[in-house]
Amino acid sequence: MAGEFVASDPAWEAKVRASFARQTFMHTIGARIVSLAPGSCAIELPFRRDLCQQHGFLHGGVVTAIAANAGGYAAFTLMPEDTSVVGVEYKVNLFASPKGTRFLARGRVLRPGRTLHVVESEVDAEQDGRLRPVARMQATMMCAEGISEVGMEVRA
Amino acid sequence: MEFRPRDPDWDQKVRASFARQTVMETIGATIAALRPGQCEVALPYRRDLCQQHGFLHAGITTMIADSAAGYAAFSLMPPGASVLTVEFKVNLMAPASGERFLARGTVIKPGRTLMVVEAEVIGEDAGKRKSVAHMLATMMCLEGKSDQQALRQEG
Repeated sequence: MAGEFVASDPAWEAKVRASFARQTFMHTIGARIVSLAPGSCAIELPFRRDLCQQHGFLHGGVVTAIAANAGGYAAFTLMPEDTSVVGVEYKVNLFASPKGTRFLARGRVLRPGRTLHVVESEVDAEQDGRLRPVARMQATMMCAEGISEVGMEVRA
Repeated sequence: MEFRPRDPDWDQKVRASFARQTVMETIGATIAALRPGQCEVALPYRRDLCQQHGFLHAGITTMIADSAAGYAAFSLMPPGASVLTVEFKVNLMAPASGERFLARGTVIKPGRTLMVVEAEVIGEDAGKRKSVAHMLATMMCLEGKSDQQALRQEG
């Protein structure tokens, strides 16, 4: 899907990576960005036992967190300078137990608007070298204008 | 709404299952209240669970809403069954700011196989409460597959 969108902010890549780096929760769970292009973002998370639900699989909230971030940052690549990205709503279908040694959330913009971006994310679980889809999200991300990403920091 | 649990051990089984969710311990979430068809999960704010602006990450908000909703449903499920989240829709209505968060899950329709559950997440700050997120979810009852039966993976 490369080249489908053009980023209006020349610093799009640095700004997305800097924002992701400020998300303490991503650091806490060990997630990282593995690919980034205008309108798309992929996030990887190695399996960890301390992020599980009652059956020993990755918790649905963790699956959602990486899906929402892949979608949110896919949208943020296309947002103008001095704006901030905010999640408005999402729908998630969990269609298989998230069983695997590594998880990959791939987000892409379906429709970039001035204020609202519609995005979708797929989460795959990798096991024995095979990727299997475990969840899908459709989300709405808002572009908050005049609020720089850094300036919104509320707690020291 | 008043619900009658189908499992006499509903309270103990929900708490035991919650205790097996390692991620709840990792983030510091606990069950604050439990009734048939209703479950509240409390989470104190922590700096290492945030998004880029220092608010609680939406994934965490969703996580406690999902657990509250799932265990509200599980409290009404028969003995020997286990609970699984099928799908949900979340509206994030305000930045998740606060000293403490409370996710309250309530069963709307307890079906035999599928249960419709809603959950609200409230942020508490200096005695003030505001609604930060709302979830509508579908939970599945897997009969004959006990919650304790480890479908565990080694790793």
